[in-house]
Amino acid sequence: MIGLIKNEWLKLVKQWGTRVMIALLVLITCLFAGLMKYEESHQADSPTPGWQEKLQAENAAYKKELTEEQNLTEVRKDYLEGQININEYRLQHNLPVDTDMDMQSFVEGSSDLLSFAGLFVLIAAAGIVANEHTWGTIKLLLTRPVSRVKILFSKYATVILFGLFLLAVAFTLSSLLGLVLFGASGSSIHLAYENGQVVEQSMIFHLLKVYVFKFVDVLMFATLAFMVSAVFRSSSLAIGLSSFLLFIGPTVTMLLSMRYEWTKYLLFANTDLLQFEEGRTLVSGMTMEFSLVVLAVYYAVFQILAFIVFSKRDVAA
Amino acid sequence: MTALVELWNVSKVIKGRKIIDSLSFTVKQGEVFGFLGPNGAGKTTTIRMIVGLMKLSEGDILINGHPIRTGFEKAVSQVGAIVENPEMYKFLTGFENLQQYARMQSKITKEKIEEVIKLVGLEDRIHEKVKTYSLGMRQRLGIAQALLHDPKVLILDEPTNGLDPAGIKDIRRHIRDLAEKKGMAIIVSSHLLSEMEMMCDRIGILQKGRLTHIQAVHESSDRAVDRYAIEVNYPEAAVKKVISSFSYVQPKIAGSCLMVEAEKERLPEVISLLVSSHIKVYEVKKVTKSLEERFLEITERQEVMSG
Ligand SMILES: Nc1ncnc2c1ncn2[C@@H]1O[C@H](COP(=O)(O)OP(=O)(O)O)[C@@H](O)[C@H]1O
Ligand SMILES: [Mg+2]
Repeated sequence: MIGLIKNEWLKLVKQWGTRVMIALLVLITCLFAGLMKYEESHQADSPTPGWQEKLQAENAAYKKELTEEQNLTEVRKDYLEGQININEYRLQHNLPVDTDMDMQSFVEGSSDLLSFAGLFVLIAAAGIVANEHTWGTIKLLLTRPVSRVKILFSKYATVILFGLFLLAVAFTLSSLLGLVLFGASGSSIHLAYENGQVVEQSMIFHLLKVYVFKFVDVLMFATLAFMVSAVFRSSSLAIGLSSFLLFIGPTVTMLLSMRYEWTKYLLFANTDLLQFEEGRTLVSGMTMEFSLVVLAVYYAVFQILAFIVFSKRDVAA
Repeated sequence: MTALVELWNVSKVIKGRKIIDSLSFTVKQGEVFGFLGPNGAGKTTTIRMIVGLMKLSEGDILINGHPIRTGFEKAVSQVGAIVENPEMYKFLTGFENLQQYARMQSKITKEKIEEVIKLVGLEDRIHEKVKTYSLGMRQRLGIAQALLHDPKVLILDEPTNGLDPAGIKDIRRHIRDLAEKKGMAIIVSSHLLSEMEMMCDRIGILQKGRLTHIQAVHESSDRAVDRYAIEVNYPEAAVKKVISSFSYVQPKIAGSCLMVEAEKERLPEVISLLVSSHIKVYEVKKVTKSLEERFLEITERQEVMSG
């Protein structure tokens, strides 16, 4: 099995397309860092004095929303309560909000660049089965004494590895750039509200969580592309269909969610797990557990389809 | 000699059309079996079923006794194949391609990889990317790949397609060597008879998915009945005489010749009959119908029947 995954990994990274993608990710992260540095240099030092008043004003607004807004979602309510408590905690312990750009906030900000990593993983997933058909090499791959299930599994594992690799590249690179360009001066404590209590978390833990949650998104779309690739044997269809859904899906779901409650069962309503952290769920009544179950069901359907079709089908042409 | 490849009533139906219709044949150890048929006859489809790329609709295929249906991994580990073109990863070197296949099966050492490279004579270019290879070189890399795991059975689908005469000669030499020295059972397909005659021990003719004929290439001398052309001065009289005494030799007239089909031992009797009937015998020739004639005869007959 290790040998099979090694094979797939080598085939993936020896294609120039893959190398271009890795180079692009590095380039984009560097560009983003440059842009941030430029903006920072044009910004006056943040006015730390008066932060207490600001937080108090914020809390007043939150409290107003809590009491006056009629149909608040559970998640929004939790979020507001959490924010109020965190702000009070800051006031009590004299922990000002750090608005300066530093390493941590840069790493958090550049987690948005993971959309690119996501797109690249999707492209890799779309090609990994379909290309073998296009190249004709599928004939040699499937006439070895290895079951088709193992072949497909090694391919999927390679897609995941590639995703983790891009994630690691993005995380390490933005940490390094953040450290060099903005310094590690910022607060290394992240405040979170858990079970009715404000807890101090290490910043690293918080950042990793943000990256992992975004990776779930990447994983789902990569799995979708992988399934289309295995079932339809066409990488362009797989790239086209899944990137179309990736870009259009969330917007359409958002629009639909205003009218219909069933949109909460759509894949796109659930791929963004940060929505629960940030108190902005698409449809009221959704919870983290609900989303995880929906995602698991979609995931299973994609995998079952891919594996059944791939292991049963005749290889002609 | 043991049969290494056995097909039992193998059929394949695709979209309601019977592409392969109850094929049965066996290939023995050390034998080169030619699979001859015009384009579209079903050669590639049959080969795809033997190597497990396509499922069988009916029948079974055994490789060294292992059924492909239920023992795919055991069966296919004894088979090396090139199906249609020798497709390789073009962005990898020849060596990296072989490493890919080496990792897919157990116990293939670096020495073994080097051995097959040497066998097909690719030492000089093996570390170059496959996209720089000529078709002949890719064909040789394909054979190296097929031999990597010391299979007992080798299957080559139209291996000479697109090769120049030197390349064809090269492939032919390899095929004969592998059968004779390593005792492999080899299946080679082609739509050209002339090529098959030079490298095969037996040829099966495939026509619209049916095996219409199987025949050894070199007519064995102990064959029971042969055809003879006897040149005489009065063929008509000769036919009448022979019919009255030995009708079973099926005498016919062909120009100035009397054609008979008889065992060798019968021939003197026929000749002495002619001589005693005062018919002059100028020449007696054994006529072996070439495979070419047979192939054409069969194909034409089929075409007439279908057209
Ligand atoms: N996947 C397929 N779907 C439909 N028909 C096919 C398929 N594969 C092969 N055929 C048909 O089966 C017949 C035999 O094809 P093939 O085995 O490639 O012949 P050969 O290799 O002898 O030239 C042809 O008529 C071809 O059109
Ligand atoms: Mg063919």
